[in-house]
Amino acid sequence: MIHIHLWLFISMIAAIILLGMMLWTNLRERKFHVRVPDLDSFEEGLPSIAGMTKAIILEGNRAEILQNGDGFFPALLESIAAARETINFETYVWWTGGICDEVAEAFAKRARERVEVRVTVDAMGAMKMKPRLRNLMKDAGVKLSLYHPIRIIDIGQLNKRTHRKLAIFDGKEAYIFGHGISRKWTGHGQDEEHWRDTGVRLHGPVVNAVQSIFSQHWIEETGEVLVGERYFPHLEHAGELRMHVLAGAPLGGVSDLELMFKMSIAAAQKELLIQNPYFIADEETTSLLKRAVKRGVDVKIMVPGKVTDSPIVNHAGHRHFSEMLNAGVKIFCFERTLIHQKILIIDGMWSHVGSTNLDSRSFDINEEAGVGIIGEGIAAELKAAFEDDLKACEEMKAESWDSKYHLWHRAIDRACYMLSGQL
Amino acid sequence: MSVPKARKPPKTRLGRWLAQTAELPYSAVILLVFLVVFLFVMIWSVLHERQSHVRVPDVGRFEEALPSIANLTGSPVLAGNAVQVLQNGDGFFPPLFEDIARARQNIHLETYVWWKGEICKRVAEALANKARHGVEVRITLDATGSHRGDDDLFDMMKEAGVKIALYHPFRLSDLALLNNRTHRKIAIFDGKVAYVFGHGIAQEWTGNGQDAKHWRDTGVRLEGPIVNSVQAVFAQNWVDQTAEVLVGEKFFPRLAEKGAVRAHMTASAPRGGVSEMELLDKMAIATAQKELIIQNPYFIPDQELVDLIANAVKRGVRVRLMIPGQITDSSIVRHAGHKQFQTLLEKGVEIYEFERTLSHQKIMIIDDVWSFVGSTNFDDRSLDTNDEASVGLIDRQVADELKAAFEADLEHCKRLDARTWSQRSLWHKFEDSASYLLNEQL
Repeated sequence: MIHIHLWLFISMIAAIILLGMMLWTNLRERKFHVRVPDLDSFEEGLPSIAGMTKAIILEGNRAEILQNGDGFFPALLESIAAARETINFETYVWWTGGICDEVAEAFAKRARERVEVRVTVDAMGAMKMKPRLRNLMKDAGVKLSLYHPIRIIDIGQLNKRTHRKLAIFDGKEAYIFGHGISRKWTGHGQDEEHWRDTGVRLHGPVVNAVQSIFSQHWIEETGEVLVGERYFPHLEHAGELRMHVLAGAPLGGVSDLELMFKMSIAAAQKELLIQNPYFIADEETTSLLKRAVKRGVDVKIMVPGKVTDSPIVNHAGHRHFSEMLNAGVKIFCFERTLIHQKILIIDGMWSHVGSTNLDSRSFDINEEAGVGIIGEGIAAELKAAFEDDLKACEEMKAESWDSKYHLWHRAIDRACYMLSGQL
Repeated sequence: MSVPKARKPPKTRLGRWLAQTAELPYSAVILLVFLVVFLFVMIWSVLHERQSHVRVPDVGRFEEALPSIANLTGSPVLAGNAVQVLQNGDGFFPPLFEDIARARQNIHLETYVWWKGEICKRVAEALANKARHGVEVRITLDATGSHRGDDDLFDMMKEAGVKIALYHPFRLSDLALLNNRTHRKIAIFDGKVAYVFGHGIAQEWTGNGQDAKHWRDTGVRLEGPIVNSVQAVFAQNWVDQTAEVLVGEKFFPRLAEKGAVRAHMTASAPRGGVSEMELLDKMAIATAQKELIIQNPYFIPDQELVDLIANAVKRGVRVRLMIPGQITDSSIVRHAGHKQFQTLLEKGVEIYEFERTLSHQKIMIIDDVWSFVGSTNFDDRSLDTNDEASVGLIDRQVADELKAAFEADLEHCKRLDARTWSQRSLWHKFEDSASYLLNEQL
């Protein structure tokens, strides 16, 4: 036992309350309910979706879809080999072995050949990356920056990770994707050891915008500013597609990605296709989806079935399934492997590809990047892939879901959903 | 509770009560101390300013850096805009009233200052009148900046149908946000015409900068594709405060080219990391090649900015800086700024104090090709705390026009020189140092 003066005791309590308040008011998620007016066509909403998320629509771009590891890694390695002046790369997951070594060696080789190579890896996502790989790259002259390294003075930032996946070559070619650098992402989504994912390769003025997203974290971590033609060349039109790039950097206020997601559901008129590995609908999303069905929109959502790397997220996602199913939302569980791609396709004319999951972690905490593409060709290609994936899916039915949805399962789902602010 | 072995018993009842001791287990005390320290570290790591030492490489020509400057600060360069420079209240309010009168579908205004006076009444009545005629009118008002405003006027506007959102009003649950204000000054009409300016809605901003009661300020009126970007900036804080999403052609129309000016809109809302405005200032100063003109009412450069400016002079850039003289609305800011003057003067920076009235405009002009106009001051409050909005204009004519105005202002300035400056009174030096201690909040 110890005697302490009452004033000391009171001031400590007061300090705890005040600091606790400060922290809470800073970090708490501010609830908001997006009110989106009714529209006649989805297209009418697009400039607003871009504008509200701090982007503008850029004309004259080209896109290629890269499916799974087999479609992605060979293209990436080719671009690495072809770059002449600068390579900028950002990712969350980067482990060791197989493809991880291959990519690291490719970067190292180019750095030795005097190409400027900059790599941002999330410090948490790179936990499984062996120092051997880091040193290989650093020794070759690759500038490697760890995003938000684990440091006591940054304890308030540790929860915030970069989940962005970007690559930019010579400022002229950009990749936006969902793949991590790990063996799991190789192959063609054939089994549980080879996941399904999707990325895009872009040419045209939009590449400048992707470069500036890469630069944000680069400046923050290293202080180096990328100036000049090598990074931001004047880009001629390279195709017919209009695009807008989204980079979520939440912290206070309304998250751009959440806004984009909710606005696009609210504005869809005919068809809404969602593929996402982490889908946790909150009350508002649920009601926006129900309203979409009522308007006559065909809503199909594809989520992971038994193969998932995060059972908690899966369970939290179940929270509103019954309500959605009964309202006519079609939900499919992909059974062959983990579907990791984050795809939105609306009205056969707009698609969104990127790193953003449909959960609070992506909306409100992490840093994400994605691209909205306006074009029927790309939408049709992604839709064909969606329909192909449907063959490996089991459709959930309202009756069978409800009849099998036991008390115990419900309890787990609710418990997981309560954590959803962090998932 | 037990009575302590006090040396001198406190006199008041409260004092006596507080001087008692409480008996607590060691573990509880350790836990309390731990909690205080832990929370303090947490809050500090969330809020502290991360020192950013921005390294900008050398470029041959300033124009080479422009795409980087625009892209890295949040907006690509958009071609095909028309720009009209609006000087002082006399140049600003009449066109503003005209555009209010002309608007057919919607009017958006975001501002920091809304005080009292005839002009506030006129603006409020003009906006209320439009709202009564079915035009959607939205105003984002900073809760602190409009604190002195006339509540009757706000009520009158609300009754007429104007939607007013107070930005970061004082609420206990938003304690940590209270220091973050919106200092942006923008107006958008039908999504087709935009204003970006430094003026507040107050009597001080009327007139022609003729005396201490009528301040000097500058804004621009924009038409063309850049207006979409200004609308997007307005939409950010609007959706934050009201959750209303602005959707459709009437807010974001497809905009045809209206002129020959290339423009980029820079808006910052600092939340950790390097703010867009800080990056822009540093990049622009680091890449200027011939001439750098800065006109700013609140100029408190940090060490890195001072170094960048000194380097510019060394490269052969003519650097001219105009700041307020005796007439200022914030003498603490003025003094804090003085802290670095000796160095700047010795390095060869020309510093002028504007004497006629408060020069409130925030202008940068570089190499006769690029001008930057808006709300952004040259201090930590603008660079690291508040929400700001300014527009970069790539055009020789606009740069020439602003430079001519700068040179006309020079005639009402006193130039500082290094010798006499170093001989300023001890008291003045003390004020400068003391004020500078607070610089992160100024």
